[in-house]
Amino acid sequence: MRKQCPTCLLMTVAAVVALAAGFFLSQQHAGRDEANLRKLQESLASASAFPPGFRQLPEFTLRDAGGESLTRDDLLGQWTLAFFGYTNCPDVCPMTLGVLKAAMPELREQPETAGTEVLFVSVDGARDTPEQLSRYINYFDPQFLAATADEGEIERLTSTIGIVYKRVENPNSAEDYLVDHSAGIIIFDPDGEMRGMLSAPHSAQNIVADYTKIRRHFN
Amino acid sequence: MLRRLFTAALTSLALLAPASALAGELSAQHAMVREMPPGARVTAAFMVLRNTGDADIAISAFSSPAFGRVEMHRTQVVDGVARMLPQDSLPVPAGGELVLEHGSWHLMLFQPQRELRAGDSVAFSAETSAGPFDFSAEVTAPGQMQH
Repeated sequence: MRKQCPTCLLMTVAAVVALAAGFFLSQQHAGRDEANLRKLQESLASASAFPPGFRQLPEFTLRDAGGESLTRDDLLGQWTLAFFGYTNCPDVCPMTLGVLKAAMPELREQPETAGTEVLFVSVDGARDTPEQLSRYINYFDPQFLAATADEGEIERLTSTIGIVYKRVENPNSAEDYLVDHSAGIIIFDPDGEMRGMLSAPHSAQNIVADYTKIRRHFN
Repeated sequence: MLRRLFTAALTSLALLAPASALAGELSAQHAMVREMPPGARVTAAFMVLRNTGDADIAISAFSSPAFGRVEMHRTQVVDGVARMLPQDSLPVPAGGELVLEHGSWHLMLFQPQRELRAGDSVAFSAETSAGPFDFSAEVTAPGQMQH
C-alpha cells in the first residue's frame, strides 16, 4: 500500500488551483485583447486592424527597381506599408502613391511611426521592368521601394496575403490592357505579420491618423 | 442700332467665355490632366461637365492632339478591388453636372504624344449630342489636385 503523503496532496491541490487560475487569467487576458482590438477598430476612420496570427508575409523573391532581389527578410525589422498596382494604372495607383507621399513626412517625423517603409509591388511584371519601376517610384518618393516578379511569384505572394488582381483586355489596343486590383494598403509589422489594412478611398489625413493608432496599439 | 449693339455685346461675351463653348450650354470646369510619372504611358483627366440647358447631353467621344487615344472610363471600388469600366458615353443631365474625379468617372489618356509637365495646357475635343465641344485642361501634379 502506498503511504499517504499530505504534502503531495497539498501540492497537487495547489497545482490544480494554479492551473485553473492561469487558465482563468489567460481567458481574461484574451478577452481583454479582443476588447482592446475592438476599441481600436471602432476608433479607425478608414482601416481594419487584424488580430495576431491573422496573416503572415510568406517567403518570396521579387526584383526591385534597382534590379536586385527583394525578399521577405528585407521587410523584417521595420514596419511596412505595402500597396499593389501597376505603373500603367491611370487613376488609383498614382493617387494612392501621391497620398502616401503626402503622408510620409509626418509619419517619418513622429517618433511612434518613425522607420516606416513604403513598398509598391507591381502585379504587372510583364510591362514593369526595373527601369520603368525606378522612374515611376522616384517621381513620387525616392525613399519608396518598388518591386515586381513574374506572374507565378506575384500570384503566390498576393494570394497568401489576400490581394487580388485581374488582367482586363482593352478591345482598342492589346498592349494597353488594364489590371483590376486591390486598392487597400497593407500594414506589416517587423515580424512580417499583417496588422492592418488602410482602405480606399485614401487620404493623407486618414492614413496618418489610422496608421498611428494601429502602431500605438501594437508597439 | 440697338439690335446691332446687342449682337456685338453677345459676340464679345462669347469671346470672353471660358475655354469651352460651341455646344453652347456645355462647359468643362476645373479641367485637369494628371501629370504623368516619367515613363508612364497613360494618365487620366478630370473635370466638372456642366449643362445649363434644358436637354440632357450625351458625350460619345473625346480626342486630344496630345494623346493617341482617349477613352471614357469609370473607376469602381467593389469589395476593396479597383475596377476600370470603359463607358460608351458620358451623360450630362439637363441643368446639372457630371463630375469626373478620382475614383469615379474620368477620361483615360493613352499614348502621350509629348512629355507633359505641370502647368502645360492640353486641348480636347468632344463629340456630343449637342454638337462638337472644345475645351482645354491644365496638367496638374498629383499632390496639387483638388479632386
